[in-house]
Amino acid sequence: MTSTGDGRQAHRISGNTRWLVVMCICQLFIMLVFINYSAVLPCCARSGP
Amino acid sequence: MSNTQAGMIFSVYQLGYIVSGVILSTLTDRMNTRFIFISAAFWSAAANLLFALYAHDFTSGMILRALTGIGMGGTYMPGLKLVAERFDPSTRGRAIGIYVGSLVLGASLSLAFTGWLTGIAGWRTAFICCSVSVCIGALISCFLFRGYRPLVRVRTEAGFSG
Repeated sequence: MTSTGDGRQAHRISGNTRWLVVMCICQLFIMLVFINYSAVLPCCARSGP
Repeated sequence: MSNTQAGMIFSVYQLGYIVSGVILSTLTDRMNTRFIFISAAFWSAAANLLFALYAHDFTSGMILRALTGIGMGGTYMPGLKLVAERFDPSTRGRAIGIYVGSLVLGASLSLAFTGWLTGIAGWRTAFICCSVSVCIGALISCFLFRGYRPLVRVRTEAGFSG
């Protein structure tokens, strides 16, 4: 009974870890827009906008 | 465009980010957080794409960048809430730390990736690629949050349960 409970908990932790990794990957993709304007600021200041 | 105008476009983005962060974070108490997160991500992708395609002067640049900031504000705190809801208090701190770390890493990559691509293909192409990247992230999150049910918290004398 205890081992089943432990196994279930381990499985859940593993599932949550996997979920968090995918969530972090999502954010990595989404955050590419975050300060992209700063990277092109010199170009924009020269030629607009 | 003057340096001041170029800087103002950046500032108005931050302003949109702050305002939407406050409003959309508050809305997560009343609406499905998953919906807010995904909608905000697609919104910022669309606004960033419009910036790449149609920003030709100071005014258009400022409006479109503000719209991008509004979208980005809806991904940070709602995302944090989704992580907090997913993990038990015993592991929540570590999970949030990892999540915030990925946010900061993403912000750093934003500069590096856009700067690198601008040197190769020009800033408009770089912005379009960033929008595509946001769409990929939002699509992955659609699958990730499948079956998500908001936690129902009951207010007691000692505070909120759950």
